[in-house]
Amino acid sequence: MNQHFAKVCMTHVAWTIRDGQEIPGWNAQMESSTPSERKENELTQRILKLWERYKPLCLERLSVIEEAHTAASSTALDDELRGKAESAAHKLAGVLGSIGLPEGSNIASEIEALLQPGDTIAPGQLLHLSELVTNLRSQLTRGPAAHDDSSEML
Amino acid sequence: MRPLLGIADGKQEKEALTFGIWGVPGVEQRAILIVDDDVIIRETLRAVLESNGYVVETAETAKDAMEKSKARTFNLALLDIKLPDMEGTELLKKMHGIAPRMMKIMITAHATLKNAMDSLNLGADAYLLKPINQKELLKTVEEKLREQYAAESMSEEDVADWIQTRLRKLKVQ
Repeated sequence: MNQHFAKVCMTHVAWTIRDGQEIPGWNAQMESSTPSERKENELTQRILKLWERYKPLCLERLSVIEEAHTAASSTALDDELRGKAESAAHKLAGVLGSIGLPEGSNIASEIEALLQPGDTIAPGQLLHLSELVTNLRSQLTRGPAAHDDSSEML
Repeated sequence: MRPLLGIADGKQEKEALTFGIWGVPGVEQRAILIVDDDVIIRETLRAVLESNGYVVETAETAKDAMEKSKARTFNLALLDIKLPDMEGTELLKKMHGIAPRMMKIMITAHATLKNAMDSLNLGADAYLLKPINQKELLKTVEEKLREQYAAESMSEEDVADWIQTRLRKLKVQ
């Protein structure tokens, strides 16, 4: 293949990723990498695009957890809301690792365990829940990084 | 060598021949069905598998999965253990009837590990825990497809033994 044409194609690929937003260093990376590195980079970019698309859904699930936490703080957490929040945490635990946020996945798992039906949430647990919810929001706000090693987690 | 086609199910053989998979010349890509009610899981798994050369279809419900499995042949299915319209273990049983030769891998969260063990007893070929590790996913999928290919390439005597083993496994259910 003509070298100039190949370079133009790579540049085009780089520009079309992430809805036309150029990723710093991406062009240079594409031009110098091996086919397997390119494949890995392309997958990382594809996962990042998925994150952009589904971040609102993850935040929606987080808001259910936050609502349950607020209700628990005022001892008004009913079984229905608790169940919804537990389900939201369960889903986040399953998907965050898949989208490059393994730490978020661990936090969501802890929240899910605290929201299991039946037991009353003790004051100490409530404090821990509060920290977990804050940390989870922070993880979701930060999002996965393009160079994150966690991209191996699905 | 005769490919191991439809010996357990003649309809499956016809279907496979129609769609040209199972060693029929001219088809190189292997088809995978992802069944999960969570769109993020479906799309991330799709991204990884497609980037590794697999043809991927997805289904959100058990009903959708069964319809898609009847409409075409898949080499392998990734089945979530919790689906909105049916337990994954129930879908697994139904899939044995629809597509006995398809490899079936269950996907589960830690909280439902017991279900994963149950599903192995019900004839699942493997299971993966969420959050799924990319390397683990590809390794398991490749391993199961290699097993499938090996079964396909068996001699007639081996085929008879393999069928007996498979039938015993299915009867246990």
